[in-house]
This record gives sequence, structure tokens and C-alpha cells, in this order.
Amino acid sequence: MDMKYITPAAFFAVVYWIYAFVRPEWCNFHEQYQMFLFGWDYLAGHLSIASGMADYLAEFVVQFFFFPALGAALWAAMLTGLGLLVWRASLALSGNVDSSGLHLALALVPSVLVGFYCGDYNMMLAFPMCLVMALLMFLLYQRLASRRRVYFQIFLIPLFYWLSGYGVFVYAALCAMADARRFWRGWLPGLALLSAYAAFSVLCVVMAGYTVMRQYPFIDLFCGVNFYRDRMVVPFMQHLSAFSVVLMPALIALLGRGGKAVQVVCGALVVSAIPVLMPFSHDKFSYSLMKIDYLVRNQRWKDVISFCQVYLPDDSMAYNGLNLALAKTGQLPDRMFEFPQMGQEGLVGDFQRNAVSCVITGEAFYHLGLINQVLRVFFDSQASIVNCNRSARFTHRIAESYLVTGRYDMAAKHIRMLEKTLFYSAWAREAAGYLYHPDKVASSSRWSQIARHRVQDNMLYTVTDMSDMFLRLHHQSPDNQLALQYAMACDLLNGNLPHFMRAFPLTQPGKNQVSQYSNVPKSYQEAVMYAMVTQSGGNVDLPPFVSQEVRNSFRDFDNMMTMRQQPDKRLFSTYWRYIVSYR
Amino acid sequence: MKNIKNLILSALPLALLMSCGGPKPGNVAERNMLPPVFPDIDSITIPADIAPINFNVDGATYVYATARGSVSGQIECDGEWADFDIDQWRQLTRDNAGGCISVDVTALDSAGQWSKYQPIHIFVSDDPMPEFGVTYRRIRPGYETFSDIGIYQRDLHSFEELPIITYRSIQTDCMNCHVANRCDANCFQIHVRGNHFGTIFQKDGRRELMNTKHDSTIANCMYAYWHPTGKYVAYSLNLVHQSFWENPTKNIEVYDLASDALVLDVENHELILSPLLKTKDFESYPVFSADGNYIYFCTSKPYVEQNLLDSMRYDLCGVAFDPVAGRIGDHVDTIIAASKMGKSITHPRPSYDGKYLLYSIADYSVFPIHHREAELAIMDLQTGEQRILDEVNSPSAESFHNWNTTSRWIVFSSRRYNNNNNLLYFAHWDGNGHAGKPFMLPQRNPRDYYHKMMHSYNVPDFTLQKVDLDIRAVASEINDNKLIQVGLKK
Repeated sequence: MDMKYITPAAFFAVVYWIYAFVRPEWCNFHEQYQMFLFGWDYLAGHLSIASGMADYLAEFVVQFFFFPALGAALWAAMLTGLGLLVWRASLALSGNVDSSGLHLALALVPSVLVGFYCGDYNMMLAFPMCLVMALLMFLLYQRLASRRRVYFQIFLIPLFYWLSGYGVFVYAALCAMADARRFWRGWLPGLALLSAYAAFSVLCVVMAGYTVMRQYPFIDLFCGVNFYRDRMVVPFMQHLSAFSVVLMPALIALLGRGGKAVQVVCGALVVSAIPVLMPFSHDKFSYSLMKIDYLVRNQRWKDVISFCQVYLPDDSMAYNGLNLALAKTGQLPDRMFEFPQMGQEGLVGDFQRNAVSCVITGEAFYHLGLINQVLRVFFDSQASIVNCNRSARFTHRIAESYLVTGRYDMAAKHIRMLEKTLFYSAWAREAAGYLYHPDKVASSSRWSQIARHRVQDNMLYTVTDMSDMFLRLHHQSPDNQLALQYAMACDLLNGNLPHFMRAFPLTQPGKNQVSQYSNVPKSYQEAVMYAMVTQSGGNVDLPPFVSQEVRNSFRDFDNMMTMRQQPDKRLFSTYWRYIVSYR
Repeated sequence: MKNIKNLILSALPLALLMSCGGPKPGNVAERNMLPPVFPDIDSITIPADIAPINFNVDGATYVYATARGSVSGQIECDGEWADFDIDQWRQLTRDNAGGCISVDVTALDSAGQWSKYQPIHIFVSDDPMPEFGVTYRRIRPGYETFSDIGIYQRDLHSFEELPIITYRSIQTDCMNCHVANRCDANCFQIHVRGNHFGTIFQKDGRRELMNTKHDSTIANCMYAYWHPTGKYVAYSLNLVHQSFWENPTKNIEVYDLASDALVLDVENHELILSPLLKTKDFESYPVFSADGNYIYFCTSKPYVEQNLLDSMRYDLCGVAFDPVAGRIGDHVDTIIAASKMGKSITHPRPSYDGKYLLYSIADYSVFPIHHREAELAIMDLQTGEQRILDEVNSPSAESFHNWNTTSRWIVFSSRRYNNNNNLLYFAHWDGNGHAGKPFMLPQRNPRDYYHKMMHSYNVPDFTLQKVDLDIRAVASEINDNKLIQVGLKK
């Protein structure tokens, strides 16, 4: 291999390593907020919008992010490919075939900027895709040798605007530079050509805005529809990255080969730039939430708990994920107060009007059997996706909810959509076999438990009596231990100890006397002791299941409280510490 | 946008179709039954000049359809579904107004068997529908959040749908209540909510954006109805809340925590309040009578926490209105005490000829859209006689509705298609207390369209002309919060 290609190869490897192993949640996040559908209809929908082709191709790529290892490879290839295209563009501009590692390293600068920008998880891949398209289009245009190719721009610029949107400005600038260098040498003709191309590109945008794209604001028409998830927002990084794609080929075209040392240093800087800049581009709090969501989605419960032991963002979404993981592994009663906790909201988050916050709550509802709430959360989360994309992940849960509750027409509508996806189609085809067959659903390995656990009669979902609601689920299906764990946890988190004490015997099925209780989880022991001691004022016959260790801890805790001391680290993970601070 | 998409969509299949002919019927079996078509179009009554009533035949891979007028004319089509030529169809309906169109269907099933069915009959009324089309809001039928939302208009003489204002144009949470004055597209209002909000009024090309929330009112003006003079709009102000059922047949309960009614003087930007419409009870859905001298509205006892939601039942009431002085009357009449019958009345809509009042009736609630038992009912305003409109109702929810300008056609939304998506249906009203069998909003390929459709149609109304709204100017005004603050009428 030519040594100059070491830098792009290393760049690819570093980007792959980051997104496959360090930040796989980035891939997951992008994948779950879109649903790429194979079919003429979907393509036509995109082609009917200016910049729709860039969006379509980006969505095509992002669907592979379903597997982060594959997604990381594609993303690394896209960024590296962008750099190589910039390098090719510089060769086309300079007409020089002699290039060095320095040129390739500098050609990767736009990729570094895009790599930095993509830390903003609202950046859509349509943006880098439009840059790739612009460079490819420019290189194709370069194949036309005649001076008369300039006239082709009358067709090429509007066409390319329609396909790539914002990319047309990059394309027009590169073409202006190339045409000026080849056919109209000198500053003035060059500037005139650049102005003419720019003005014609702007004219195309304005014409689209006053004809077929009347519903779209000009900021979208100029800067790309779906290039950023939030509507009518265009970060400075988009312009800077695009500008670098125009600037770098011109700059490289002017540079010499550079010495060996310069080549090595530049290569190393470019390769190390993305990991070094990551803390500044990838906000730790948000990415931690994404990570927990990613792990919950894949039901990697132990990994959720391990992750939260290291860093637990102070957000109900994180707590929802942690508590669900603890409950799914049967550890909620024992270990929930090893973590700070944040009240009932940390168990089941309140609804928030965005596409992110309630997703884990929806997963909790799914495992609990509150199917209508699953439908509500995933429907509303989908409806909250600000660029109005559909989500294959959410659609999958919505389809399941309709299927389990026997609303087959609606289930079929969603399943039909998923059948047109790449990675959900196998599931959809299988699910289609269950439509209009309630018996089959009830006996399926996938849905029998949820179908059994779901509420059979009329019940109004309420956040004020959530504990009762969970108990009702447990009463209806005594094997729904998750609901029982949630009911007890709910009482503990709300400090509703009388209700907790009434429900407590349910955790000891088949045992009629307190003396028979065994294997009582730690937090339950602590809560029972706290309830009895605070009720009686201190002198109380504690039940035998309260261990000596718990009794000693409580004594120590009580002493520290009496002396107005902060509880030591050992007592941090007790129910008492939680309830004292909660109150 | 949709046009471009349709163009792109039709380009390839058309090219393919033109390059090859369809299979020819042979060995045809006569079936003594109606063809299994979607949508159900047998015995419907349609107006002349409406878009083709296309249909799909269940299980058919190829269809031949011949539409024959009882007076004159015959047209044919063939393909994967029955897709009549728009101009030919419209001519056929015009030629047969007051008569009937018989549609012969011959279909090829997947086993290669041709079947000829009994003809479908479509009645063509001689009552014209002079409107350009209908307006409605399209929204995914959900819960609390809406991003993919827009107000659209649909040409009833073709399949063209045009956006009036969509989520793409403005940054807002919600938009609703495109309400025109007696279907007049030159006099309408639209309300948008969210960070950027306001009520847009457009009359004869002049546009104003108002903030209709006043210190002395509980909320922004919401459910609207124009006075025939175009000087006033009656509104209810609703503090809307939702609860969620954990029940397979019912998801959502929408109810008010408080609601009042009032009249807005649009020209003077003044609210006209009355203690009769601002009580501790809930007042909602006020509408003017056809002559503009009376306001119908719905009222219920207030919601009290811990009360059961199914105790919320609305009666139909009325109060006089003096349009000259701009004054609301001094006493309320109870017109239908629905709560005493264990029912709840909402969405009153008087016909523009002043003879009838169409309304929704459900077991309880102010929001019948989520109630499967919700039905349309009608009251003869001259005799006071009321009845459920069995000829248009279905086992699913029928909810919002409106009259056309001649009071001979109604448009209403219904969930009969799948109990989830509200779709539009039209019915003929004969002026003597009877409605014809309703038909679904025609589409070029109905099954494909409605099977893929993820939206619901809300708040449908007829529109005489195409609605012309300068969306860029409106977006700019809304985003700049350039609002006229309403005051109180002294």
C-alpha cells in the first residue's frame, strides 16, 4: 500500500473504533428515529422534496445502524470517503497527479469537522451525504472537457439543487473554481463565474420556495430539509464544514508535498482529532442517557446496572432504565437504594413532549403489561419526532400493542409498513401470521406473557395511585412479579409506608405468619424496621426476618441523625438515607 | 408537493401500463351477488360532478368496470382496480343527475377465474353540491403530541389535495379550527397554539392575527363558529385535559376542566361576555342559528375530581343574540335535556336554511370522537322532533360534521373504517328529514390510499372556493408574534 494512504486508513479505524465500541449508542439513536422503507412510494415521497435525495440516501445508510458495528463501519467509510473525495477534488482543481500524505491528511480536515459536528446528535446524515454528493457531482462534471460545459449548469444546478439541496452551493463553488482555472483565468472572470453560479443557485432556491415548496420556510430550502433534526435551526458547524469542503481542495491544490515530518505530524493530528475533541463534541449527560436507552432496548440489564454504577445521570429517564434493569433481574427490592433514587418519577417517568424522555418508560410499561400505555408512549414519542420521521423501533412496539390487544386492523397497518424495512421485516412477516388469531397470540412464546399480564377490564391510568395500579396487575396475574416489585418500590419511593406494610405480605406468598417470612429483601427489611420504629417510638419487637446487620445499621444511622451528622458511606445505600432526604 | 409525488409515482406505472394491455375476460362465471368492493358504494347517493367513485375489488388481480347512466352515457375502465377517467365520470354524473348509475363489474381472481357480479347502483342526486371541496385537519390519531399536522383542502371534483398550512410552515405545537363563514373561503379563521400562537382571521384578502386570551377569560378562544354577517365569531374557551384508559376498546378520554363561551366582535377586536355563558357549569361548542339571532351551545355540570368521567353529560341549550347591538340575551333555554336521558350532546350544527340541527350524541363526554357509541342525530327546528340518523351511523364513532351551503349535503368524520382513523364521509340530505347512504371521500386508489393512511381527518367543512392563504406572510407574522390583543366590549 502506498504510504500516503496510512492516514485515511488510520482515520477509518479510529472512527470505526469510536462508534462501534465507545459510542454505539450514537448509531442506535440515529437508527431509532427513522424508518427507511423499500418501495417506489417512499422514494417518490423523498424525490418530491428539494434535497430529498440526500435525505433518502442518508436514511438508506442509517438503517444499517441497527447493528452498531455495521453502522460504525459505514459511518467511518463515509467520513473517510468524504476526505478522499476532497483529495480527488483537489487533484482535479490543480491538475496535479503528484500528491503526498500531507495532501491526504489535509483533505481529511472536512471529515474531522463533520466528525466533530456529528457529536450533536441532531445532525442528520443527510448533511454529510449532500457533501459527498456535491463532490461526486463535481468530479463527474470535471469529466466534461469542453469549455461549453458551463452551459450545462443551466440544467445541472437546478437538478442538483433538487437532489441535494444545500450541497448545490458546494458544487457551484467547486465548479466555479475549476471552470475559472481552466477557461477563464484571472481573478475577475473567476469572481464573475462564482457570482453567476451562486446567484443562479439562489435563484433556484427562491423559485422552488415560491412554487412547489411553498410550505417550507426558506431556511429549510437554503440549508436542507432534514439536515438538522430541529426544524428551522442551522448550526454554525454545518456552514463551517461545508466551507471547508470548498476551501480544502483549493488550499491543497496550492500546497507542495511537504516534508516527511510535516506529513507524519499532520497525519497524526488529523487521526487523533476526533477522539481528542470528543469530550467537547459529545455531551456526556445526553450520551449517557442514549447509552442506557440503547442497553435497555437490547435488554442488556446487567450492563445497564454496571453502567449506572459508574455514572448515573440525574434524569428520570436514566432512573427508569436502571430500575427496570434492577427489576428485570429481580434485584430492585435489594439494591434500589444503592443508587440515589429520585422518587416515583424515577420508576415511571411523567410524560414529556419529546421523542426521547419517555421511551424507557414505554419499555417498562411493556414489560409490566400496561399495553395501552405502551401504545400511548410510543405513539406520542413517534409523534414528537420533530422532523416528523417515523421510527421503526416505535412502530414495532405500536404494532405489538395493537396485536396483543386484538386491534388487528391497526396492527396490520403498522406491520405492513415494517414489512418494507430491512431489519424489521422478518419480525413483521412473523407477526402478520398472528393477525386475527387471538388464540395464537395467547399461546405464542413472544406475546403470551404480555397478553396474560395486560389489564383485562376497564382501568384508568393514573399517576396518583400508581402503586394500586401495579398491585392490580399483580392481583390479576400473580406471576407478574415485576408489577409487584414496582408496586412495592412505588410505595417506598413515595414514603407511603402504611400502604407498603399492607401490601408487604404479598411478597411472601403462601406464608400466613410473619415468623415464616424468609429471604426478605434488604430494602423491605429496612422499610419495615423504619415503619415500626417510627410508629412505636423506638421500643418495638422487630420481626425475625429483620437481620442483625440491618438492625445495627439502623442504630448507627439513628445515632448519626441524632448527632446531626452526615451518614457515612456505609449507610448511604439504605432506605433510611433516601427517606430522610426525600422528606 | 403531493402533486410532484403523484407525478413521480404515476410516471413509471403509467409507462409500464401503456406498454402492455390487460388480460381479456374469458370463461366468465356469473355471480348472483354484489362484487366485494372497497369502499362500500352500493346504493350510495352522490352529487353530480363529483370525482370518480373508484373502488377496489377484494381478491381481484384485474377488474373491468362499466358505468352506465339511467338517462344516458356509459364509460369503462380496467386495471388492478376500477379507476374511471375524471372528466368522463363527471360528465356521466351530470348527464344522469336525478337518476342512477349502474356499475357492472367483471373481475379476475388470483386463481385465474373471471367473475361477473350483480351491478352496483349509485344514485346521483339532482341536488347540486356547488362547493369546490372540503377543508380539514390531518393529524395522526394519537394522544398528546402532534408534529405531523396540517390543514388541507381537497378538491371534490378531482383527487387533488392542497395544503393550507402545515407543520412545515410554522413552528407550533398544534393548529386547528379552520372555520369558514358558511363555507366561504374569503372569510375564515385558523387557530395555532404553542410557543408561537394566535388566531388568524382572513376576510376578503385582509388578514389579522389576534391574541384572543384576555385577563378575564380562562383560555384562548377555541371552538369557533361565524355569525352569518361575518362580524362575530362565537367561541368556547376550554381547558382540555386527557386521561388514558387501560382498556382494549378505549384509549383516551378527553374532557374539560373548565369551559366558557363568548362572542368575539372581529371588527372591533372585542370579546362579548355574558354571565349566562360564563358560569360554574361548562359551556361549549356555541354556534349561531342560521338567521344569526340565536346561539346554540352545550352545557354540563362541572367536572369535580374524584367524580367519574362518565358523569359528564352535556345538554343542548340556547340563548338569544342581538347582532345589531352585539348583545347576548338574558336567559338560557334548555332545548334538549340530554343528561336526563343519560346522553351527552355535542357539536350542534344548524343547517344554513334554518330548518334542521345536526349534532353528535354519546353516552357521556364532550369529545365523542373516542366514543364508539357516538352517533349523529338531527332535530327538526320547526317541530322540535329529534331522531338518531340511523341511515348514516355505524357501530363506530361518528363525530364532527358540517352542512354544505345548500343544506342538502353533510360531511362528517367517522371511525367506521378501522375504529382508529377518522375518515370523511358525505351524505345527501333530502330536505324532508332523511339522509342518503353515505359515501367515503373518493380517492384514486381507495384501498391503497386508506390502507397506507396513518392520519385522521378532523373538523371537516365544505368550502365554496379554494382557500388562499399567504403562508409565508402568515408564518412570518406568527413567528414574530405580531398579535392584536383583544379587549372587552363595554
